Amino acid sequence: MDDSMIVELYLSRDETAIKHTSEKFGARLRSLANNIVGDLQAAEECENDTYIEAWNTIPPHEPKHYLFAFLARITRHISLNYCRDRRRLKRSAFICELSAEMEECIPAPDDNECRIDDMALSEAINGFLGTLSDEKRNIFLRRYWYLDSIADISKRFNLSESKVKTTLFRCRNQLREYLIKEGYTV
Amino acid sequence: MRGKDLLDKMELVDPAYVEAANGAPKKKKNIFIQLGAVAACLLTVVVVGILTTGKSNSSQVPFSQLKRNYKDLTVVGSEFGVEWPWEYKTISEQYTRVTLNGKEYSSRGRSLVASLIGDSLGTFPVVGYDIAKQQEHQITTEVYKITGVSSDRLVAVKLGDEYYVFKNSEYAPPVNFGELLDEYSLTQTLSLKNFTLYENRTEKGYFTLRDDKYIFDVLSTCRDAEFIKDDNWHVSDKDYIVFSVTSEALGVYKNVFYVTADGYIRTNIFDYAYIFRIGEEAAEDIISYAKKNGVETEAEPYAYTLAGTITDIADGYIYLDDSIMCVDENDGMVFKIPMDDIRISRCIDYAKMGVGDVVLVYYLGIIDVDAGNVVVGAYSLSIAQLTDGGVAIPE
Repeated sequence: MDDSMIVELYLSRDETAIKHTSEKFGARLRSLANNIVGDLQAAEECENDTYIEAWNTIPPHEPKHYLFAFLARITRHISLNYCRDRRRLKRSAFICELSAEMEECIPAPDDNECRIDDMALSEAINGFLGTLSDEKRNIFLRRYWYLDSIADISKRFNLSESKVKTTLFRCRNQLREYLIKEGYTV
Repeated sequence: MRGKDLLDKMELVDPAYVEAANGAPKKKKNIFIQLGAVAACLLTVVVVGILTTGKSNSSQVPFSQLKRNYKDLTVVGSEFGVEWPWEYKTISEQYTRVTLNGKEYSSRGRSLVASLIGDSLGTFPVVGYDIAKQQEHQITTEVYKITGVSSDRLVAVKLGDEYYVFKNSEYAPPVNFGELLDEYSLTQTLSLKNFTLYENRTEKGYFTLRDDKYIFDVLSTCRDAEFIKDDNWHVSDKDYIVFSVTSEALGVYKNVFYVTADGYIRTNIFDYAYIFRIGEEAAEDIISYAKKNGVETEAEPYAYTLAGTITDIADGYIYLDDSIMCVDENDGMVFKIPMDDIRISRCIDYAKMGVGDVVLVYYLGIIDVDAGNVVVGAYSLSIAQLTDGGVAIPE
């Protein structure tokens, strides 16, 4: 079923919306969650929570043209929280590693809350991503949005692992430089 | 804001980008043409200054010893993150995974000399994946221990005539620093001599130590330093030094090894961030020793490059004229790039680089003068853009 039709089902409070969502996106959302939590059963929990959250947020949202991205964002958020709430999970070390990498992008890391609102931060992040080539942007997002391992990115793009790491390292530096140059205080 | 917050905030990324990153990567029939359109985003910038020094009597000399008088140019080369077809890959690029006793090892893409090869572990199937044809390939080859290194961590795989380092893909950090020292024989396999000093978050220079024995002596007293899993850890506001680490036995090239004044070491040698708390006293010993004994030197580039125009392709060489780089174009010199390495020949045969193209050659920094200015160890080419204003304008 077409994405906009699925969204229409949500908007009309038709519960078959969830069934259609599950049929069309379930495997991808479960895979994304499993990628983050590293546990299939937990991934299924995250997937189910995603449907509940989608049901509660459409409306007011109407993601007719970006339904997968909308759902994936929810899955990612739920899965990250799942990992953090259960620090004994082996994956929590991986999340720590990604957090450390992300910290390299922040011009002056500190314990204060983010100093700019989400709209400005969104503008900053997307502005930076717009400066990257498709391949670099996709590599960056596979790592920090989809939380892929270096090995998986390497296989996906058919690049050596060292090449992927170098690209990510440069992207992180470029993001930090971009934030400084554009005057964003995060 | 901390790294974990920014990781969370990545959810603000435009849905179009998120969708695009979830699609299959594009196949690249002629990567260099495609990259031309997005050159500014895929660029490695190499600033080339004026190089003028004396001559050497040796046949093979560092490029810096050639008498070249270059313009103050910025040379920008397209990155070579190319999805080469299977048949254009080296054997080490083709075969990247092996499973030993149920554990998967992945190639680190680095070769090592035969003198580091230990006992044979047996013969195993090594697999590779042709992403264009969605096809798995497999060969059977000998796998060896690496001298001094636990085969639970790293092994050497013979591919063709060479040995390559493969690393256990599992995330299994050591309990403490002593375990790391022992499993990798770091005192033998690692060199902590070249470092950059940071004080008050400012780079104070690049230094070289003649001897790193003292540093390992100090590190050897930190065997009980526990492995830290801490997503709040960051390079502190205090001073630190960061060593540039290259090791054949470990299969790493110019990775980093931090020692921070507040008592931590952190390294990416093992793919994941490994952090240990060694204590302020040990860290201070290392940092003060390095500051006292380090000799300031010029920072090494990550890769050596040479730019020029391809004037001919003949007799197994690409002929590269660097006149375009020279203050006086009449001073141009012709260099010969051997094509017996597939990493070079594929740039001509597949990427269709040719006579008239301005290219950047990646090599080992050495020129064999007596052989007719042969560029030693050339391993990649990319299309280059030259600008003299410091800003690259993409096509």
